[in-house]
Amino acid sequence: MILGSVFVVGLVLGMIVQPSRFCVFGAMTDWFGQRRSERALMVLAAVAVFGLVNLAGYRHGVEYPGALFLAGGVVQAVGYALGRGCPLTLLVRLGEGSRFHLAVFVGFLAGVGLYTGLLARPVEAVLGPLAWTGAQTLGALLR
Amino acid sequence: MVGLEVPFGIFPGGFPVAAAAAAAGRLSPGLRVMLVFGLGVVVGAAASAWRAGELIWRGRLPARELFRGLAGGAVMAVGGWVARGCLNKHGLSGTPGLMLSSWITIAGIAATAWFLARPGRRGAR
Repeated sequence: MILGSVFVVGLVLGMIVQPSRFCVFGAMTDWFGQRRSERALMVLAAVAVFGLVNLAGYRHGVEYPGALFLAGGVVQAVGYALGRGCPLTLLVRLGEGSRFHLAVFVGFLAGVGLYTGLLARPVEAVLGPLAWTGAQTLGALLR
Repeated sequence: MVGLEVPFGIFPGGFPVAAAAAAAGRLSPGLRVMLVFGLGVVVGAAASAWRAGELIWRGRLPARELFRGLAGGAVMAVGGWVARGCLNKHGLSGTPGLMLSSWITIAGIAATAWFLARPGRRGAR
């Protein structure tokens, strides 16, 4: 059963991430702020593992590089700094019982509603066209 | 309204939306996967924290913290939606997949993280 195995994967992930304090954003701030690399190494390990998924033939959706991704990245990061963590951290802290992260969760829903209901059209209209359709992946770029 | 197919893949970023969709009774198969995955993470983390004695439900949440949390959640949601994925999706799936869109997103996140966390700046976390 797919849902059952997905649940178990999440379970294991939660049990591993909670004590190890794995967080991609935390890895960045630890490094930039204090030159600490423990989390960065964990991230590299995770990236390597996920790289195997790609070798196994996983296909990504269609995504041409463009301004949307850069802007989205910057805005997300501000959100992660304010919200004290990336979405995975959010889930883990919710499991620990953090009321702050409950607020983040509610804010997340409000943000989705606000964006899809109001901001999406103008943002997509302005930034969407600022994309480059030459290549999606590094492989295509080098070819 | 821009289509509600959540652009977060199976990664945690989609969990809040899946939870809201479930509450509204409109759970698509894709969202259901995200919901179940997210619940697994929450439960697993809770179990691990409980065994380690690290559960923290007690305590007040000052208004300033509440607003910071709400703002943080809203901003990260908007950023994630614009970038068609949260940093786990781009960093762990798109980056090893050599997707330029993911590299760009991670570059934006890293630059902002550097800007906010660089030494000499009053702590952001």
